[in-house]
Formats: sequence, C-alpha cells, structure tokens
Amino acid sequence: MAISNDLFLAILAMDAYNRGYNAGIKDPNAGQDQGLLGTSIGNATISTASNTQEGSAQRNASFYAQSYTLDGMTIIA
Amino acid sequence: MNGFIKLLLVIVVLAIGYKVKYPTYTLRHRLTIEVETPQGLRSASSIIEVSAILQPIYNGFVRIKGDAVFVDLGQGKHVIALLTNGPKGDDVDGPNYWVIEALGLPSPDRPMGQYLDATNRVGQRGDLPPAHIPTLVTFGDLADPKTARVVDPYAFEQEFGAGYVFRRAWIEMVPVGIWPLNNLGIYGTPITRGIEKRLPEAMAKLKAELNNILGRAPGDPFKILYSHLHIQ
Repeated sequence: MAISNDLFLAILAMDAYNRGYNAGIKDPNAGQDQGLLGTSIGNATISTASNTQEGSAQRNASFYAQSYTLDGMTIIA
Repeated sequence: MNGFIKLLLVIVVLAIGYKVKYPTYTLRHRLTIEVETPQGLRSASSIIEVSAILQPIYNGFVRIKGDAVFVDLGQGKHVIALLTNGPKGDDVDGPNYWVIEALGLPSPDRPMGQYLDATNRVGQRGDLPPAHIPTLVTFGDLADPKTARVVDPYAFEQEFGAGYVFRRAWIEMVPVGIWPLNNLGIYGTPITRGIEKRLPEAMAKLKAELNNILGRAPGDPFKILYSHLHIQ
C-alpha cells in the first residue's frame, strides 16, 4: 500500500527522534549514544547526522539532526 | 523563621532526598597498555573515571572522564589507546564497560548493578579481553590528526616493524576519593590529564572541530575525534 509523502516524512521525523544520544527508543544492541541502528527505512537511507561527540556544541545544546537520502534527495529531520 | 528561609530549607531537603534516591556512583581505574619493543617492554597508563548517573532525567547514564593513553615506543614510534572501541572507533560506549569486562563481573545485561559492585573493588585488576581492547592508533605526523590510522593490536609488526608486539591492556581499580575533594585532585587518585600537552597542535585542530555541524554517517571511514583523546 502506498503512503503519502507527508506521512513518510513524518515517519522519518519519528525515526530521527529515536537516533543518536539519549534516544527514546533504542535497538537492544545499541549503546547509550545510539538509538535505532538500522541503516535504512523504507527506501530512505540513513546518511550523515549532526555532530554528537562529547563536548560538541550541538550536544551541549541538546541538538540532534539526521539526514536521509531518498530518490536522490537529501531530507533532514 | 521567615518565609524565605523556610523555602530554602524545603529546597535543600528536596535536593538531598533526590540525590539519596537517585545517587551517582563513581569509580576510577588505571588503564595500562603494554607493548614489547626491540628495546624492551614499553608501557603507559591513564586514570579514568566512570560515573553511573541513576537520576531519571539522565535515563540511567554512564559517562567517563579521562585522557587516552600515549605509549612512546621509542625510535620515534608511538601508539595511542583511544577512549573508544571498535575498528573504526565508533563504539564510544565501550569504555563504560572496560571495568566490567576486565574484572569479569557477572550479568552483563545489568551494568548499573555491576558499577555499584565495582566501587568496592579497589586494588583488583584484570586484562581487557581482545574484543574490548581500546581502539589503537598511530599518527603519521603528531601535529596532524588527519594522519591518524588504526592499528590492529595483533598486527604491530606490520605497522611498527619486527620485534613490536602488543602484549596487553589491563585495568586496575584505584581509590576514587570523596567528592568534591577528588575533583580538586587532593583526595583519591587524580584523573590523568596530559594528552593536550603531548599533542598540542593536533588537539587544537580537533577541538576546533567540536563546533562542526556535521557528524558521521554509517559506513564512514575512521576519523579521530577530540573526544577519543580527551573527555573533560
């Protein structure tokens, strides 16, 4: 069943929310700096994330972003 | 007693109660790296602090403080044991479990309980199992972090030449002292600091990268990070 583009983008947003440090939902094999470990969701491929290293400006500000590649486009969530 | 003092007392009591109910357990250990060289055994160590923070806001968080271990192998050669694990240095949580793995503590699915247990183990020591040996690197140029490359602990001769053999990485529990005196370095075994003096130019370049917006993507090759070498 096809889903709308908006719904898929919403799913990516939820996926991003559960990646990186302090993720709400974690893969059982994930460390505390990781959440979900899969490298794709639907036809979207997990790409670069924001800087998450200890001491980084982004982490100190509790910022996290995840990019995805889908049909040649980059989506940032 | 005026209202302000009553309010202050209530806040203090609540804060103390919160800390008692959700304590932070801290331990310190010495990580030692030993390498056989043609000139004899070379070793270096670093005191690392591990804290298990049980407060709900941190969702059961474990963090470390310390510096990577720089081993001078002589003849202008060196190896550095980073504060991470894995062939690409991606397992930054790995050091949280070094004590558990080295001391062979039971129930690996319950690290918090193990940390509580480990706080009473000063003086105990153990080798890190091969899968938990820190990521080892060497720099082509100590001033340039881009020249850092991972060294397989079981392929030192290919990297450094005949007679160079990684012997072991081991952990010894040391006294943590009492907060806040231990943070001032006047009680307990102080956390080792010194990698910034050892690699001033490389550390300055890596520190500047802390402000980079982009991090890593799955499948990216190894890249050394500031937090691999120093965690405040």
